[in-house]
Amino acid sequence: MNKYGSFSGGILGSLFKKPATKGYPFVQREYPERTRGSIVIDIDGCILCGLCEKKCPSAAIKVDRNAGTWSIDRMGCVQCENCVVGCPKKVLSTDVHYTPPSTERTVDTFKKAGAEISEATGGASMPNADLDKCVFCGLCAKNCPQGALQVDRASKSWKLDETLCVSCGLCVEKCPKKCIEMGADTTKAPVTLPQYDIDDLPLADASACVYCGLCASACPQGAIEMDRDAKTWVINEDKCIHCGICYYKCPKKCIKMVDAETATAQPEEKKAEAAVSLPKADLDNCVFCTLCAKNCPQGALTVDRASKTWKLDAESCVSCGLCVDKCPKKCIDMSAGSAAEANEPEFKRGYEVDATPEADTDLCVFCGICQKACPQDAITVDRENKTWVIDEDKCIHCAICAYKCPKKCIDMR
Amino acid sequence: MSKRSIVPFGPQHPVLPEPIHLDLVLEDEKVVEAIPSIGFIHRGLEKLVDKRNYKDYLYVIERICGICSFMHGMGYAEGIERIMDVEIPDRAKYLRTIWCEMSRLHSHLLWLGLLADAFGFESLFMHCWRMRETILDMFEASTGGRVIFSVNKIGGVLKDMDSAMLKSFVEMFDKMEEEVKTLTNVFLKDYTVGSRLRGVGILTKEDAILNGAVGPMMRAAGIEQDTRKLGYAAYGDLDFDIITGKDCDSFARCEVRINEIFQSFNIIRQAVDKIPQGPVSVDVKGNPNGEAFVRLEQPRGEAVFYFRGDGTEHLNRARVRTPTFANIPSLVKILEGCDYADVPILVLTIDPCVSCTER
Repeated sequence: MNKYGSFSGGILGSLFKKPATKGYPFVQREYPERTRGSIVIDIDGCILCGLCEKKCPSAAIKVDRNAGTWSIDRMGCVQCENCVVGCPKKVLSTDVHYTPPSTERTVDTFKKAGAEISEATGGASMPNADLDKCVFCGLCAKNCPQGALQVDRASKSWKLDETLCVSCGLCVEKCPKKCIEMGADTTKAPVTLPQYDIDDLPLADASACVYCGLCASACPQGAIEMDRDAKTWVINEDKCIHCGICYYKCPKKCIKMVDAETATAQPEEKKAEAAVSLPKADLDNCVFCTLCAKNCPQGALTVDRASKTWKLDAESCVSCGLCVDKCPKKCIDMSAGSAAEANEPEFKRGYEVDATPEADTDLCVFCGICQKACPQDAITVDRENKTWVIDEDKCIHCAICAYKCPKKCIDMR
Repeated sequence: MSKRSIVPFGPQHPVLPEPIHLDLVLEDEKVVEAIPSIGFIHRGLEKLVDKRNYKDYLYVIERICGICSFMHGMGYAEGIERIMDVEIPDRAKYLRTIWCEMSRLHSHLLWLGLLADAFGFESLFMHCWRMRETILDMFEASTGGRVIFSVNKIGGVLKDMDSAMLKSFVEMFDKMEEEVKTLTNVFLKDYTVGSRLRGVGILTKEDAILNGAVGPMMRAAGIEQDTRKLGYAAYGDLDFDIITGKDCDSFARCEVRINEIFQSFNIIRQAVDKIPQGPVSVDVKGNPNGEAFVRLEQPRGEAVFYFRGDGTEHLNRARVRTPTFANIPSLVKILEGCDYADVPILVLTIDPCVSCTER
């Protein structure tokens, strides 16, 4: 098996082959397109968010927001492309050519034109969501490269972790409702459930409560007993599951989550002046801005600017008085209306024949009345998971659900 | 009894490619004992895990080694994917398999070259490395890097290889296989090569088990074990046999590695035939919470990874047991009783990577 000269064939072959090496520097190598030679930046598109600096494993990138500069230590860079992958604006890319050899540390600095403006405004601006428009879809949080946003649909909360936010503005771009603005007023507190212990009970502040009953109808357990005429509000301790929905639904924000002792020790106070009354707008002053209708928790008001109409559905109205509070012209009077005077509730039948119902899950209390009313069993309401699903194949477009809905949150679309 | 003397060997030594230090206890020209010491190039890469975000740490861990860089990155990605219960797309598994085998190819060709260089066969060394260069070019074309590939990500791989690229790679491998065959015939049949390798550095099956040898070192001793048979990445779908040697000597280790080269060609061809279409990565959200062990068959043997996360963006602990570390006891064993002149070759036959060992 052992033999001599087994390599002679290879040696002879090599004599007649071209050299395997290239005649560098006279012959330059051609790089494949994926070669990671050096990092290049389109500085005009850069928003100086600093994500690349954070992601760089060798800390070769420095971003100075105040000076408006982006710099890279060419010898520190390990060409891992982590910055290119992580750039939210995709202004970083890799060039196949390496930077020229050097005996000294080369730091390339790029200055963003007009970056002084950010210095004047003190640098970063943070995004803020307009919670009136926000549908809590969570797209902003999903797209946030930093995971700085937390959106919870169930508790209707939109939270920004300002320590993580790099002001890249991706959330603004991704928002389907266009309700996020950079540097918007951050003083407005986000709507969040209060921090409370797991066994805390809700307690209504009798002096602020208008006995509208929204909490009672929202309670998934039927644990709240409220009597409008007697002005009583009682929480059934045994039924309460401490979900806090009543807190969220209360239009007057008079419900607090307190420990069980306080909740039961507090006697129900009667409110002297609370009278069942309906709102009425002074149409001479009204500008039909629709703010009252927008804020009505019951959707009892219909305001049409074009035809200058202001209608109240007396059956839906719970006399909470929010419309009075919200009216910018102060033209709504709580005591002026009456059930007799109020306009007859109007059910809008003007929908396309093949329109299917759709519930506004923001208003929906998942009471299940629509499900019971549906002649086709096309609606499935899951109270626990807060879902409302329509089976479009079964739906016969009768709109009975929309008619029966106590919250008027079903629309035929 | 002749006089004993101690010769320090390494970490800097003209014939030694890796910075390991051995105190060789000699009796005349015979080594009676070898005392290894390591720690000359410790870089603290494992410690960096609590400094960098767990997603960015991937670029740190793949710098443990310049030869198995892909597999270190992949071991880390697999570990985090196991902790976070992420199922990566099938195409990513196949791509990882192909890159793994390409790593094995270039590692074994590099080793063959170094071996040829160690026994003074310069032209053979050059030819081995010329062949390896082609694979590095393929790596550059497919991943963008020649040494550090940075192509893994938690949840898959960053770059795809289209069918044209895969086809051209297979064609190149077909051509290369012929050339490698001529080249390895020299290793297997040439008298001079055989005279330096045969019967030298015998590690018996019992010693291999006792010293916990891994990889080709262990398989050359006749132990049939290959971590790839665990079926990580796409290895579960591919058909291959475990290559073992009989003679337990340096020549057997060389033979095992040569056969593994042809096995790798075969595995790549199978993987290219079977590779499914689809995405190459999935998005991973959240932080790892839990711990995972990963075992991978690197070119040099089995590497064991351990990672533990506590739900923050920094892991608690990362630990890599590299194959060279596991093979050092076996090295000490085969050095006992050998000729002083054979020490460089014997150090080389374990395919040492001291950078891996010390991290």
